Amino acid sequence: MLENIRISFQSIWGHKLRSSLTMLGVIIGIAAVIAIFAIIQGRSEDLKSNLIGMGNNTINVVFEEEDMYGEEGMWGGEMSNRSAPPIKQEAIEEILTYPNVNGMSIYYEGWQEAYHLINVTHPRLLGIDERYFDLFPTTMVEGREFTESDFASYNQVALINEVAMSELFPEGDALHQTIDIGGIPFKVVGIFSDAIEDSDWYYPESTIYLPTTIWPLLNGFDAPMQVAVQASSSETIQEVGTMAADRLNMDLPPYETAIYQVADFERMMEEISQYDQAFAFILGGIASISLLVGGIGVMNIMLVSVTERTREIGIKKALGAKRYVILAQFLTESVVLTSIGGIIGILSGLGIAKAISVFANMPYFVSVPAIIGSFIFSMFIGIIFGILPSIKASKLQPVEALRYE
Amino acid sequence: MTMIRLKNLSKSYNLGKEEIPILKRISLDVEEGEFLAIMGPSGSGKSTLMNILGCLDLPSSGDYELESMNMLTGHANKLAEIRNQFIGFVFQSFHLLPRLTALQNVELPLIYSGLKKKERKERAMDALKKVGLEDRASFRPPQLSGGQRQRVAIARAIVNKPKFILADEPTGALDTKTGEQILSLFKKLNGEGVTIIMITHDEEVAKKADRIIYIRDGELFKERSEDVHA
Repeated sequence: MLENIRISFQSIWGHKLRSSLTMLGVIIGIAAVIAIFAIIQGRSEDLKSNLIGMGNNTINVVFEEEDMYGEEGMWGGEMSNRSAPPIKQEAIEEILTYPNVNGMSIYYEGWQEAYHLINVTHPRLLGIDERYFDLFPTTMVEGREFTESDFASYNQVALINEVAMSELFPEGDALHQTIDIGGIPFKVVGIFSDAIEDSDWYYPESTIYLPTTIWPLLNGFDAPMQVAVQASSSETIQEVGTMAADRLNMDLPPYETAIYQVADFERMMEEISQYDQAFAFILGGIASISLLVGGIGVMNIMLVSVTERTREIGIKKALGAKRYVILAQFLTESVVLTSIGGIIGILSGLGIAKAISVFANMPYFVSVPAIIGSFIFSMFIGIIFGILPSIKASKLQPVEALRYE
Repeated sequence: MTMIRLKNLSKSYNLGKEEIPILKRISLDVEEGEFLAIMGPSGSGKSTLMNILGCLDLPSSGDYELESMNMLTGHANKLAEIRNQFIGFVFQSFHLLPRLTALQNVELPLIYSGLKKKERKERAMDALKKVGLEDRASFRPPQLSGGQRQRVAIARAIVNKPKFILADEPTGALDTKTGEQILSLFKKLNGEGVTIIMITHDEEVAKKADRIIYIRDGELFKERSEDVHA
């Protein structure tokens, strides 16, 4: 067997141009599969980690009418701005003690213009508590974060991001300046950058943070609160979210028709993997066509190789080589040929995927099962398309094979 | 002692409706240790006879026995085994594998009989020594002269200690001087007890053998008839 593999390499090496051209079909087929798979898988993994847990195992508990995430699925519901009873501090404390809960933050979210002199911005306005940055870390560029006294003393202070700063303070120098939101002045105490959310699914938008405690000054006391809970791992997100929602629901008055609830990530996962499967099917189709073409090329060259080596086969048979010896020799050569093609295809496929991900700024994902699968499949092509020429070789009559010039 | 016995051996080919007889009820005994030459012009059926003797082809009818063993078992793999174990081939155009070294070429029959690598190397080297080419063991056929190539082929023929050597025009592709060296090598091997059947159309070559059998139009003759030459 080893001897056969060695002979195969010799023979493939002996016809470098021909062998590489023959391999090309397999190489292109496998490379295409690997590259497309890496890109699609990359996007899908990225989508999953961004949708599910916002990239840091965090889930939002939303106060909505029942069944928002009902039959029509997660995409069917619509965020409403209905009011909600304030969340009690003790509920938060209690949820934080639950197993697998890493952190929790309560915040307000809204869209409201902010002004400085004649400059205006339309920021995403967030009223955040002191735990918000534990869940969504941010990088301060200038100034400071909120302090305990900002929350306790209802200080009219704001953190703005670089986008908001460039819109409000085109000439720079925003720190300690005053901005106007809904007719109320806020002092800019810090400027942060959006680095943390700089993934494909976000583009930097104007964002302003205020302390939660000052929020009612803008929107009253019954503004709906957002609840974010961070789980210790992506596996426990769903469970942690459900537990937090259940705890919050306990405090709701009996007449309330809305409840706290979380998106059904398992269903979302399922939907995403259904898309993946559809892609896999289409891919499989394309791949099989190109690999079929490559395989036929291999078969063609193997038939030529058998004809060329008729005399060699005759000699070997005259010296006592049995049929399976000849069969194994040619089959090995064909499998070695397509396997080399497969390996080159896998490497170039990964290279192409890497290049695409660098140039087009797309994520890519190296799937080990896909690589192993492609390699086994390339060997399989060698067997399928090598079997006919090998049988032909093994069936040659020694007399005729020896006479062949 | 009779080693090979052919009895009423016939071979014919079907060309469409017509049946072309190539060998006509041939009977032949070859003694152990004999050096036999079979002579005949082209088209006389000597190649077909050689193929049947070498178990490369099967006769249409008749018997072929080697030491009372029936050689006509029919199955391709069985015939391969018989060729491997009992017959050493020497061809006109050497039929060496150009990509293998002399030693590897000589090793081939031993690979097919399933010998271990170490024993293979030793026996192949011994065979090369017998033909005086041990210093050319690592050369490939294209690096060897015609005479040397034929000696490698002879080494390959004797390496598996066959019952007999079947040589098909062994000097046909060589000049006279080299041809004579090959023939004296055959003589030497024959002197050591190896049975040799040589097929040739060259009278001078055939004369080296102990016995000459003539074949003409598919029939064997003890004497050379004059009209063959005409």
